[in-house]
Order: sequence, then structure tokens, then C-alpha cells
Amino acid sequence: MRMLVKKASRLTTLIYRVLFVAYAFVLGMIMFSDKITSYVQSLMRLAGS
Amino acid sequence: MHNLIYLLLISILCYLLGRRMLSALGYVHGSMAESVLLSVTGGLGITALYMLLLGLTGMLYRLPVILYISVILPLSLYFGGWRQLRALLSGVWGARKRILPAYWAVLAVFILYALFRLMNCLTPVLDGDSTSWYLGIPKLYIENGSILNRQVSVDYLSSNLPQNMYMLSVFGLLLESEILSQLILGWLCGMLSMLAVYVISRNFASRQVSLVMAIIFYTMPTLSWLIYSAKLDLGFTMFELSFWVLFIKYIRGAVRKDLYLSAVFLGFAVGSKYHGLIALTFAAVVIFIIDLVRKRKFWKVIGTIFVFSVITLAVGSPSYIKSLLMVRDPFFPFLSNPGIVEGEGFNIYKTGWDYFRFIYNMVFYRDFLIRPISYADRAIGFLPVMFLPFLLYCFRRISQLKRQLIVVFVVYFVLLSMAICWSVWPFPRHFLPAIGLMTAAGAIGLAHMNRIIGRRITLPVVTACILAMVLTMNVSYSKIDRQIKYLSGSISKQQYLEQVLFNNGTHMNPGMLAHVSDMDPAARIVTLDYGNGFYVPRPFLKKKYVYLISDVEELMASLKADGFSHVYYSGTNTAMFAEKFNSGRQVALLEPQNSHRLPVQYQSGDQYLLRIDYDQNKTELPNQD
Repeated sequence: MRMLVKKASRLTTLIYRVLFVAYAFVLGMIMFSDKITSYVQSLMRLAGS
Repeated sequence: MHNLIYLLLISILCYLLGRRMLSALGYVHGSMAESVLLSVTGGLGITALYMLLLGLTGMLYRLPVILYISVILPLSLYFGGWRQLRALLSGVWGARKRILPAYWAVLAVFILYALFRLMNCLTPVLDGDSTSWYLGIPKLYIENGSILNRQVSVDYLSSNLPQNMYMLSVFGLLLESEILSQLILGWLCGMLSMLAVYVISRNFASRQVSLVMAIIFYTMPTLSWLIYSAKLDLGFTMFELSFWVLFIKYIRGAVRKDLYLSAVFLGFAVGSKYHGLIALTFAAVVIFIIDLVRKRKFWKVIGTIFVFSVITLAVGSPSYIKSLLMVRDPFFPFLSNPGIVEGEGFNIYKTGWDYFRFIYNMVFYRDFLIRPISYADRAIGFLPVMFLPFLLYCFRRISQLKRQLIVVFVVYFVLLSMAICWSVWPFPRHFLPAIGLMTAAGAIGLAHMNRIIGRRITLPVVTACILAMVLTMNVSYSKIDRQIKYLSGSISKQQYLEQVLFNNGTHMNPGMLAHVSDMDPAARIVTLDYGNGFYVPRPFLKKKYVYLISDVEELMASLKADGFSHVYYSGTNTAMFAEKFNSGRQVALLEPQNSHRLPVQYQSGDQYLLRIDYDQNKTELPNQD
């Protein structure tokens, strides 16, 4: 039982960690969207040429 | 190099002077960070008031400024200053041991960024607002040796606004150069604002977490261009956040001495920007509520608020007295001519729902979700607000005192940001103190996340976000090579300015500047273009009526009344200003049938200088055939 609780706790922490990173990632994507778009466009141009 | 030495001397002088003032007022020095913040800020406030005194008495020359430094600095050092400085340095050196290794990465990013900004600030000022107003007006004050000049008051309406930061700009100009003004108003005030966020944040979290929040505040895009300019917003933020440091102490401990001391700093803020009056009103309401909850007698509470307000207004009053003397309106233009505050077409937020759009716009510099927008400022960034949702999550678990503080911060943020949202200039730089408070409050959220998911995850994520923000939003790469050349002495100041400012199309080019410097000293130029006149060697003014008045006779009469002898414009930018102020309609002065009134005196590239011929008082009829 104790093992189960420990595993559940670790899993919860892992989920929190993933959610936190995803949260920061989404905020970053909104903030840097134009930079990302321009980088992607430059890469596409490079790939095209 | 001189500028850097002067900056160091000014910092030491302000620290010792402010420390002495605080001790005289009965302040018990708390933590090192708090003591340094309040001392240096207090010293800067006293310096601003001293300059105001010189300005009001017509003694705005270099000698009194040199005397100020050369008398007060040695005296302060002699009377215990050395000991205090040594204690401070050893305290700073010892503080490094208290920073956990996990935080060194974020600290390293901050140190490198602060040094980069210091390098920027050591080069000549380029910012448009600074060269138009915040250095342009001080330059005229110095030329007149006084701040009481009718012509300056009429030419620059913003010279009738609170003066403290203008006076620190004058201080830098008189002592050395506009670069020193930039170092004081931008870099030093930026560092002190950051320190204030750290000190406020310490009410909620550990040193490390508070340091991260302070770094987040310092690296947000809104601050990035304010640090590298000579604008007044950072100085105002520094004074107001210093007020909050002491006001929070009052809320926590109910010691009235803290409250009255906080009023001194609020007075400095009120003397720097009208927005300080909002903080005064808000603080009065908070004192009223808190003291009544503490079961103080009603009239005692009223007495406390009265004394608090009187101290604040007395410390801030010299600027208001100056405005009263010059324009008969201490709160210019709100009592005499409120309609003059029209803004520049950025007042797009009208309804209650627009407030949420405003906040989103300010945070991300985007319209929902990622549509680009444009306003005359930079984003707050998501980092200062990133941890607020976690703060809500653990709100019930924190102490009642912290909850009270958070509620006060949130209410102040909402009120101030609403006031800015529906104003004519809805930009984040106008509610920076409230942003600073919310950033400090976010420390609770970060500390909570550290507990739940561990520093090993939060710190790398935060560091990566700060780094991304600094590298993509804050740092401008286009001028770095020329800045290094200027600082290493490879190019002169003139060459540097020609390369990065005079030839970029938003400023008079070198040919036009050379011509203007040879003109009659009595010449006065009205510009249809940008009005950044600090480097222009003749009065160079922007008047909105040149776009708005379509009757050329009326326009000529207005120009004559203002004593203008020349008109400047460029083909590139004038159309943009006409679009902005006059829906794209041609400026009456430039219509072909009026060309005989304004013969071209000089042309350089697409820039024109026209001589106003007031004797030609008839409009030529257009060709009939």
C-alpha cells in the first residue's frame, strides 16, 4: 500500500512537472509567435533554395 | 569612462546622504538590501530637490553642482561614511555565499544582461522621447540657468509636468553629459527598481525566490528600452516602490514612523509623475480601512491620514509650485486646459471588456491569440504574471497578513491599470509600480511550485524563458559593433551618432545639422517631422497645429506668434505624421500654392529647411490655364 501511495505521489509530481513545462511552453509560443514564424519561414526559404 | 566614475560617485554620495537622512528621521536600518534601496533612493530624491531649488532660484549652473558633490561627499565619508561603505561591501561580498548553486545560472544571465545594458547606457542617448523632452527640456533649463522661463514653458508643455526626474537629468548634464543622465535615469533607477521588487518580494518568499522575481522584473521587455534611455518612468517606479517597501512595513507592524517615512518617498514619486497622486489616494483609503479594523479612534485615523498626505504633498510640492508660478495651474493641464491631453491615437480601449483585452495586449504584445498589434511601448512579458495562477491555488494556505498584502496589491494593480487602460496613453510603463508589486507577489507562486515540482524543473524553465526574452525581445544586435567601437575609442561621439542616429531617417542628417549650426542664433525651427531636438543646435519644436490648421493665414499667424523663422520636414516621415494627426491630408504649409511663403533655404537628401516669409501675406492663385 505504501509503495502504491509513493508511486502515485511520484506520478502526480511527474504530471505536475509536465503540465508546468507545457504551460511555460504555451506562454512562450504566444509571446514569441512572430519570432518563431519568421525563423520557420527563413528555414523554409533555406530548404527551398 | 568619466561618466562611469561620476555614476559611482553619485551612487556613493546618494547612499551616504540618504542613509544620513533616514537615520535623522528615525529609520531603523533593516536588511542590507532594504537599507541600500532606501538610502540611495532617498539620496536621489534629495538631489532632485536640491536641483529644483537651484532651478527655482536661477542658479542652475555647474558650480553649485560641483560644490554639492565636492562638499557633501568628503563630509559624509569623514563622518562615518567609510565605515558604512566598508560594511556594505563586505555585506555584498558575504551575500554570495547565501545564494544556492542552483540559482547561479539565472544570476549569471542577469549579471551579463545588466553589464550589457551598462555598456549600452555608456553610449550617447538615441531614444526619441529622451532626445525630444527628457534631455531637450533640461538642455534649455541649463541654457537659461533657471527652470522659470516663460518661453520654455510655452514651447514645451511637458516642461510644466512634475520636475524631479527632469532635475536628475539636469544634474547629469551639468556634471558631465547626456550619457550620465541616461546612466542615472535609466541604468541606476532600473537597478534600484529591481532591488525594490526584491525587497518587497522578501515579504513573501526566500532570498533566492525573491531574487528570481526581481530578475524577472528587470528583464521584462518594457524595462529594456527604459533602461537604455533617459525617460522618467523608471525613476518614478523606483520612488513609488520604495514607498511601498515602507508602506508594507506599516501594514505589517502598524508603526506610524514607517508610514510617515513612506510618505517622504511617495512625495518624491508625486514630484516625478502625476501617477503618484493615484498611489496617495489609494494609500489614504488603505490606511483608513486598516486603522479602523485595528480599532483606532476615527479622528486619530483621520489625523494620521492628514499628516501622511501633508508630508507627501510637501515633499512633492516644489514641482507643483513651479507649475503654479509658470502656468497658474499646479496640476497642469488638468485644471486649466484638460482638453489638451489628446494622446496620439493609442486610446483604443473604451469598454469594460476592453480591459481584459488591454491586459492581454500588454502582457503578450499580441491581440488574442497571436495577432500582431502595435503600441508605443514594449510588452510586460508573460514571466511577471506566470506564477500568479499558482498564487491563487495556494492563497488559502498562506498567512492572513500575506493575504492582506496580496489583496492590497491586486486592488491597486486593477485600479491603476484601469486608469491607464482608459487613458490616452495605455502603455505598461505608466503602471510599472503596480506591475512590480504583482511580480513580487508572484514569489509565493514560484515558491509553491518549487515545493511541488522541485527547483530542478522550475529554475531551468524560468532561466530559459528569461534568456529567450532577453535574447529575442530585449537585446538589439544592430548597434553592438558600433557601440564597442565608440567605447574603445575607435570612433568619435560625432561619428557614432552619424552612423546610428543622424543617418537613420528619423533625425536631422549631418548635412542639415551643419547648416542649422551656422544659422542665426535667434532662428527657431518648427518641425513637421520627428521632434528629437537635443542634438539640434537651435530651438527645434513640434507643434500639432501645423497639421491641424488648414487655413494658411491662420497658420502663419500662429507660427508668427510662436516666433518661428523656419520649417523643417523630410519627405519620408512627414506623410506619416500627416496620416497620424490629419487623416493623411496634406499639411497646409506644404501645399504647392503656398510655396512662395516658404522658400527652400536648404536641402540635404530628402530633408528640407524652409524659411518662413511673413511678408508674403497673399496666397498666390493657382494657374488658371
